[in-house]
Amino acid sequence: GSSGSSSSAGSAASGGSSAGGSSASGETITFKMSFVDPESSPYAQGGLKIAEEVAAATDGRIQIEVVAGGSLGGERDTVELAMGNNLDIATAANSVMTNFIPEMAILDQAYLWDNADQAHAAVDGPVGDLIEAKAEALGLHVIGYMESGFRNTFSTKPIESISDFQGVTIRTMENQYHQAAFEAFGAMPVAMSANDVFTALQQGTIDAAENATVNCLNNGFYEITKHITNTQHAFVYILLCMSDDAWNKIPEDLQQPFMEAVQRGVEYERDLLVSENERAAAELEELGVTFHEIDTAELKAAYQAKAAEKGFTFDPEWQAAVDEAIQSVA
Amino acid sequence: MTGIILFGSFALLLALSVPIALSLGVATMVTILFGDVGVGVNIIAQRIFGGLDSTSIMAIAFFVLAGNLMCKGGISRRICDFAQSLIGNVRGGMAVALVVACGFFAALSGSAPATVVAIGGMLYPDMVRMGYPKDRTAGLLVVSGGLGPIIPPSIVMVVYCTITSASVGDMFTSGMAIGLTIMVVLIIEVLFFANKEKWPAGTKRPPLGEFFRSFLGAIPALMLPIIILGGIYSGLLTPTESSAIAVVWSLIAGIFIYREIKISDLYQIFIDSAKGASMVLFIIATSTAFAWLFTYAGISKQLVDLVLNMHLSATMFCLVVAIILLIFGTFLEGIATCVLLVPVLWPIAQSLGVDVIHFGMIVCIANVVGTMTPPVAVNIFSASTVSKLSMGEIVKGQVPFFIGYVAVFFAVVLFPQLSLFLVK
Amino acid sequence: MKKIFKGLQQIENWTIIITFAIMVIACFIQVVNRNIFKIPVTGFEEAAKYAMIYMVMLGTEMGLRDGTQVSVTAVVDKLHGTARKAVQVIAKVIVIGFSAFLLSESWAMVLKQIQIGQLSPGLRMPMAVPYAAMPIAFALITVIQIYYLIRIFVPEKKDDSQGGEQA
Ligand code: NA
Ligand code: NA
Repeated sequence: GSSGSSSSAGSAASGGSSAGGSSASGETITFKMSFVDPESSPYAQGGLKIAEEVAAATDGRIQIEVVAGGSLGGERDTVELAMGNNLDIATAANSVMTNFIPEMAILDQAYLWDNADQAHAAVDGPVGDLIEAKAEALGLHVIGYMESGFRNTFSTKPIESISDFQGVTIRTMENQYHQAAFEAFGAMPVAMSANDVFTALQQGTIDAAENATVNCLNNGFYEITKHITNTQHAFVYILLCMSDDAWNKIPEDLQQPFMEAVQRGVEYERDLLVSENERAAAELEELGVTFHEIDTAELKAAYQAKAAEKGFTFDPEWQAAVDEAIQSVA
Repeated sequence: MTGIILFGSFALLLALSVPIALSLGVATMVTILFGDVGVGVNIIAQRIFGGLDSTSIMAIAFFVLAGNLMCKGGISRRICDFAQSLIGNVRGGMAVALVVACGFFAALSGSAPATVVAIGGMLYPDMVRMGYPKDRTAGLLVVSGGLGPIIPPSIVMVVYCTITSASVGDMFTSGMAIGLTIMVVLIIEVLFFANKEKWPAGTKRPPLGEFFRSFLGAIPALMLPIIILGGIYSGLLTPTESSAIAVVWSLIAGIFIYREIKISDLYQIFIDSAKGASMVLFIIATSTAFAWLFTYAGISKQLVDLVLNMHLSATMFCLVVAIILLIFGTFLEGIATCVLLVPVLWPIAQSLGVDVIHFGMIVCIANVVGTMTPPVAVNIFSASTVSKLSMGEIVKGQVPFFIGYVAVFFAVVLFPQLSLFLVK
Repeated sequence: MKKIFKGLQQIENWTIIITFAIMVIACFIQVVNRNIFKIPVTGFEEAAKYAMIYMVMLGTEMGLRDGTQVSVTAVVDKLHGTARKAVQVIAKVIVIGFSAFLLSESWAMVLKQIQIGQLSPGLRMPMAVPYAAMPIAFALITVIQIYYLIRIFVPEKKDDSQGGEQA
């Protein structure tokens, strides 16, 4: 979606000048933070929480203005804007960042993590270090990792076993690993602009879509997709990418409190997402949606066979970091 | 202050006759250089690319190409013949046929000026020869051409749905109802003026054989709306794809069925369509940069705050929006108005509980009204190419029909059910 | 000179036609494949989209050249003689200046894309390729509009049916 809205957290964020030249102590610095999702989304809510935490931790010297609804551009575009120092903080899914940092493809794999703890350990630890080093070379500072979490499958017909995927046309992200996963299950992945998905589901052009459960509610898909299968097939992070210029504006004494405040906001968003998914699941059930469990071990095996067939390989250093993260939680 | 520079420089550039698309870009640049915004001018090129990097706007290029193929491929002539054989026999019958033909053509084409040129080019010379008043005929053409973007498919609806994520299918359904309402209003007005101003009496009712012949001839043309809407509703096509299929069908009809397009004609048709489509799409691209600055500099937030502080009811808000859109529509191209204002106004409308389809119909009809209001009035420009009349003469002739159109517009604004009864 | 000009225009025309055709064909194949063959191949939409960017950028150059890009002529129409010519020249200079500016900015973007090596999500094609449509088109616009600006002052003796000057 891209309907636009802008809102500021804190009091000092008057619409306007984020470029403040030098930032001698005492002067207020305002950063703009962009989201493609609407203000009500868990991500933008997380952004507002970060704004609140940062303002509190820096005595109001750093303010963050959240601009939601995609009015400053799509994920890919806003990352480019941040690289060119024309936007302070862009937010983008890890799959989008893979276009800039090819090694990040390792995170696009289906069934990479057994649980969210592993996923968090990776970006808060060794994998995060690798991402941040690569991002810095592009002129970006990754200041935190929000998430949209594990993805599930929304379908018009019940899907309870891998054989139910046979002949199902599903809209996926334009991502070869996600597409390979559904191909492995026997479904047909198709690419389609996000705006067309609702109509396509309604008219039967496609039979299924996939995303975090809360999106099924927020996008109104539940009117058509009366079935959600907990496939948990991929985990998606939302990276907070800060521009060089913006980063350099933060006075040295505020860097640590700033980063800690951002991390508190990020953790708030991670928790919020879990509770929002639970709330959405309850609400969806009331709206007549049926939830289905599926043998994910079988899906995982099918994906891994397909991945071997396609010859997916990854950077050994990154693979080691991923393995380390998994072991640290196991 | 930033807002004054942005809109002031834009108005000045328009007055200097700098093309609209470039005026939007240059105004953005001037504002970055002289206003207090705090971004680099390099965002302009990046945002122009961002504006074009979208799948949904492809439909616009396809609808323009399909429109030109239908014009050159004999489809518009078949439609005129058929409309005439339906109702050419009453007083002012040709004028009714003009309205009906515009309605049929609107079901094939997504744009207002394309409808004016396609139908006007076929019927206007004949009607003048038969003794219809020139200014009234051209004026009626301007307003009937306004059915183009209301009866689906519609370019402006696609743009609106891209911005708001509304369902294109629902917008199209709603447009069908409103489009038919407008047709009925225009036909009643035509019949009234035909008697009052003694327009020529009807042609003789064609023999039944003639009627069937014109109907058979029009079948391939009338298939197109069935393919587009049927394709979407049966789930074979997404709305974006339906526009590409419209191109393929127009090619088949023009080359193989009517045999009026030669392969060698395609060269010029593609070039002309590319130019026509680029005009709209490049305006979308530069207005993406303009709208970005509008948001980034906080102007949109000020506008939102201003409107929110008025504490309007949903209906009053829609009325205010309608008036804002009509004002913007007088001097701005329709797509640019849509790209500029919808991202700002829709969130407010949403918070007041306005339905996305109802709001979309307000935006679309206001856009079409803008094509009929000078100084920037593409329908009048097109009608003037067809009729060789001046803008002033056409405006004089269009007044009663224009009032009828605007009356329907305000009915749509005030009564949401009008836009929604087919959808919900 | 004129031959080179003509040859370039042929290339431009055919690029427009081919990119437009790619758009139609790619969308058509996608529909046929999804409904009939069901081969899990994606990337058609992306191909169509990037073809469109070339089509639009070159189509814009053409529209600016022959005056089909809409502009508001209400004010200019009221002017006559020197005043009218002055406004026309100012408008041309603005168009040229802005195109030259966008040429340099978009060229920088292409270089940046080459440097960071961003790939498109579907086709895994360097993003520098679609971005390159902009500097190519703006280079053409700048050069051709300068040519027409000169022709406002030095009208050619024989018209070469190149589309003519526009207001
Ligand atoms: Na239409
Ligand atoms: Na107007």
